[in-house]
Amino acid sequence: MSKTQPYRLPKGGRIDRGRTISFSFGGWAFHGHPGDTLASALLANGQHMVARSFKYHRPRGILGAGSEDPAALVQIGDDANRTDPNTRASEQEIYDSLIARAQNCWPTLTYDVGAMNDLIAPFVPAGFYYKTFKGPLGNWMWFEPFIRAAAGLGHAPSGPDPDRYEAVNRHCDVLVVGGGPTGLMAALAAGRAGARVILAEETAELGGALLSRDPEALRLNDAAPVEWIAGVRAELEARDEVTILTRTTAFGYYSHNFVGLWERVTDHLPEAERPRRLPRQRLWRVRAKEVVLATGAVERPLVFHQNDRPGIMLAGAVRTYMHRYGVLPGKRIVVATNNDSGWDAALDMAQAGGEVVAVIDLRADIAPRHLAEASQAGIAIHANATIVGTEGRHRIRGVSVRAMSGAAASGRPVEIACDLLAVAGGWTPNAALFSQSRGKLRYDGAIEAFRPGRSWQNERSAGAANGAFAMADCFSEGVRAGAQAATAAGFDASPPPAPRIVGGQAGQGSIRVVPELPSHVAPHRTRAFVDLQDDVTTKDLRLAVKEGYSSVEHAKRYTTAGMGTDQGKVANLNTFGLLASARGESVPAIGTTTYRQPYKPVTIGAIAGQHAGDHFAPRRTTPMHDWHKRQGAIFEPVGEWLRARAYPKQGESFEDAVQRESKAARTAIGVLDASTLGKIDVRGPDARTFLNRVYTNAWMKLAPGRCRYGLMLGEDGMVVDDGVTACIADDHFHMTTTTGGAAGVLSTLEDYLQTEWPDLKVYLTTVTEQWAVAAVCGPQSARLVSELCDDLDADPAGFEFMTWRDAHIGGVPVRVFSISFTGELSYEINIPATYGLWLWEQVLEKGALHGITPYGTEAMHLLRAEKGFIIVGQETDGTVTPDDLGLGGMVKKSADFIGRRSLSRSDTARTDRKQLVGLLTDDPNVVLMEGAHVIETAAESAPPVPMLGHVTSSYFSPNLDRSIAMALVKSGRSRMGDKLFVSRRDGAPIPVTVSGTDFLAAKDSATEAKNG
Amino acid sequence: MPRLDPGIRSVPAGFRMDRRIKSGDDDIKCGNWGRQEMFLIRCPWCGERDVSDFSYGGEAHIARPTDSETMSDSAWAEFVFLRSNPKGVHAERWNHQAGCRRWFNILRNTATDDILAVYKMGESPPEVTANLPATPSGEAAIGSGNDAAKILGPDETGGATAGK
Ligand SMILES: [Zn+2]
Repeated sequence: MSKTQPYRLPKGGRIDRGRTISFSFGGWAFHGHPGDTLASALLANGQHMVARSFKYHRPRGILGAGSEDPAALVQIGDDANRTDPNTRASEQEIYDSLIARAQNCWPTLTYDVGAMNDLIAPFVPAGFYYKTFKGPLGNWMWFEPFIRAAAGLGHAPSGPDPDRYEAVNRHCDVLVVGGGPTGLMAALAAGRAGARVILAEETAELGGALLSRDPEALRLNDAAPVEWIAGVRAELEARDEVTILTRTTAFGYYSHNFVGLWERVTDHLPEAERPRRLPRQRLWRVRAKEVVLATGAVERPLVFHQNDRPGIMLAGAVRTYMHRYGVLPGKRIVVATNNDSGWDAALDMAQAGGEVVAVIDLRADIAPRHLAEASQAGIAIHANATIVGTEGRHRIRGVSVRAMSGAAASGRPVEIACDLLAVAGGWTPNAALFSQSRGKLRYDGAIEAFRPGRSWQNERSAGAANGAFAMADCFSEGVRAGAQAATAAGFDASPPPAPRIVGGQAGQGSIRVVPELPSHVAPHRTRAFVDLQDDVTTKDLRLAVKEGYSSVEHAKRYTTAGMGTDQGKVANLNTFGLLASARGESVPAIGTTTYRQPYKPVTIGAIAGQHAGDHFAPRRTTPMHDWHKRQGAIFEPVGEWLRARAYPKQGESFEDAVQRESKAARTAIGVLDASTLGKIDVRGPDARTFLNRVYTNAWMKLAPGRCRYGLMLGEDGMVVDDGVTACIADDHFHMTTTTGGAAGVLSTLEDYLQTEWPDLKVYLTTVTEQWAVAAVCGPQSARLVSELCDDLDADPAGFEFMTWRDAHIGGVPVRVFSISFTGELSYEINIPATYGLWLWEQVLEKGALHGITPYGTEAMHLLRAEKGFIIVGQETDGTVTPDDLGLGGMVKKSADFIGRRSLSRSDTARTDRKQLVGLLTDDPNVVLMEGAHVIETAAESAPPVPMLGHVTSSYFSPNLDRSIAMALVKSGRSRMGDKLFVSRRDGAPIPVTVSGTDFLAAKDSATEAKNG
Repeated sequence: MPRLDPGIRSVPAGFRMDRRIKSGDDDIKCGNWGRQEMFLIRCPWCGERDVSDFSYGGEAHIARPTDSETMSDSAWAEFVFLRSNPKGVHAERWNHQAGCRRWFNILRNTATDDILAVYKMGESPPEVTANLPATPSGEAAIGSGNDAAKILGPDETGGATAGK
């Protein structure tokens, strides 16, 4: 492409003509200037068609000049990890070597295989997807591959996002959304009152609509618009309490004045020039005392046959391209309007040098001023006229106009050749944020649109967002809203005067809304698009009403009108108008769809912020963690903790490592990092009473120096946690909880102490991270512990099981607990956490002589299963009582405790509940699948298959040399020795025999019987 | 079996829950009656903190029965399982889990998420005024975000925008 940019105006615009930027679109090189958007630069080069539509793959051009544009969506970047789909060409600023591509087309924009969809359009009516889903199953199966291949908006990055994102929390007195005339005055008024103000502007520059006006024709306080804007900006910047954010979209208005802002910090810079110290984007989480919504208005297109060709643009957007970007997107221009603003636009284009050949107005009564100005400029005038069709495939070539008589087209068509059709269908106050805030809209007949009616939160809308389209009204409403907001936030406001305007703009005047412009084309042949992104036509909407989907919310979903990434910013009101006319009702009577966050698509990166990678979720590690890592441990997350699951040796499989570690812990000595166990320090004169109320078993007589295993229930009687608690002194206990349950247990216990038993003098402190724990296990463990400790003989003869001792290791005080989670002789050494790694290394060094083997959580699980010990969360799932686990003996009769009464409820007390049993497969080498269903018959009956229960734990035990499993089985304890079956996915159910859960004891007694 | 003293989860003696809420005047301007922020909860001990500091603890003023051994199964089940789920004012417990770890009570309008009052354990719920569901569909007149509250009716007045 040439450097000439044939549609660039000779002067004007907020672009830097001194520099030329080269970028690529669809593989072609283009040129533009700094300050251009992709859309303005492409238009300067005469490129209107930039995309194809989602459903029919019809050519799509640039309709708007900002975030309202529905269909000019492009893919930015060709780095597979750093590419953005669905970017509006009208918002993407260009930079050197920017790479952009059209979407929804293959192989190229102008030759697209998917455009075939357009030819089959008659077979893809409204509700196509619903009908296909609801129809015979085969329909969807047949269509699905075609739809999948053809649909889709761009493509997502394929690898991890290489960029950095930030989230910022801010409180402010007044948040002003929108940096146009209204927002600038509001920020000035609030800023001068001394309020802490955030001013958020979506585009790169403050000024809004002021930048879309002929700068020669407009004076504000005798200054050119950009000078006046610069003055306001300078004053705001000089105020410490004011923050100006450009390239920042307020995308979500949530409860209680919580507003999300999305700032694009470096997206406008070439990749090489993006400062590394800056994030790519920022999410501002703003809590504002007061909010001013100065979000402007969105222009509507007109709905007529063949209204979707590239080269058909919103009249207001054309003015923005002219004055902000120095581009006049056509040489031979037709303007179609239903209100005064189209005439202003036509005159503007003529003055900029465009050949405006005609203005078509739906209205019969046109202000004499406009008629005079137009005829002076040599513009043909078609009043009370309608557009009945257009020509041109990839760009408009002509318009066909007819007179209207009443609501019908009449007279002979007039063909007008043109390369740009500017349409002005009236302005819609941009009330998206207002509606998100749950304010109530009001239908304003004077502008034939919804505008903010009654606020729910502490916000006010002003200017065009409030339905005040005249420039003078925007300034005065901005002043008033800013002052009101500052006052409401507790400041004395002295509102600044609005600027003196010369050459300002009036509002849109009278408007004649015609939901679908009449034409002679038969209704079923009409292709009049309401939603350009989702390819929704007037025919689709009429069909939806006819088929009963007449509510706006139903019709929206049935036709997908307004459901694209643009959320129907320009389309919605036209949709409502059409539905209303199809139903013979008024727009306010049929209502509006719901505005939801986000206002426009926000990158997942910005929402995730810093919470990505290692920061996604906090990971807790033990003091021994580095050692585990050095040994090549395999880790598993347990709650927030990362625990060593096994320590495979070079060339050893995970399964083999678990078998080796489990064997060592029973035959010689093993050591487990048990630091993650929850630990709660329970103190106070009523500590004992408290424990007695929270555990099922009795605690009143546990002497200092002794330990006890406890079961904790919910009030529903179901097991929620378990652990060993040691009595340190009469009023002091050391409680342990499950690793994952620690925080929840502490919270529950605090709840009872604070709200139910405030009379108890008990204080809870979490000490999980104060103690590191090495659990040594195996026949040799007593010798090792004795050797490690300066002052403890660990021989079980003197150091009884379920007791604990104070001792020292190398002079460091430790607590040694003689407790066991494996059934093997075992000691848990607790040491202040800073000595954890040192202790671990001592244990391994001194244990080496005894052949010590570190074992991970998987071996720990296996070892406890050999003994039939439960794991809360594995054997239990919130529906399991102590008795179900065979632990009914741990339930005291003497006193109340949490959940006690529930144990005698009829459902809890019945004897045919699922009970924990062992399952031994007939084939000792078959390991059952955890979670598999236990059934009664050798073959599965027809569904639903009666289910007796499920396998909770299953391992191959190296110490028993066979598979073992535990399961919850209906009436399990009365089925001892019975043959049952465990179903599996691909194969016959596996025969098993019901057994007790202590597999070790069973082996020992079997050995005794044999020997005896 | 020893009986426990009733805790301060319960409503103080002589207080009836059903008398405390007054239906609000529909025309009351929002934000003008001491409404507190949903996303900032005012802990009675620490002051305003982000909602992420807190955890929700279900309906308030449900005291743990002290005579459970004499209760019927269904009366006990009522305590364990049944909670009210009003569209309107709800007394509920919150815990400042990432802060002072204290439990306290909140009155919240579930139709609008307004926090109408914060009060300590053992205190009576204060009398509050709330914009309660009033329309036939059970919607609050404004603020609930549902269809019935999206557009002003012909007889409704506006307010609070800088309108003409
Ligand atoms: Zn607190």
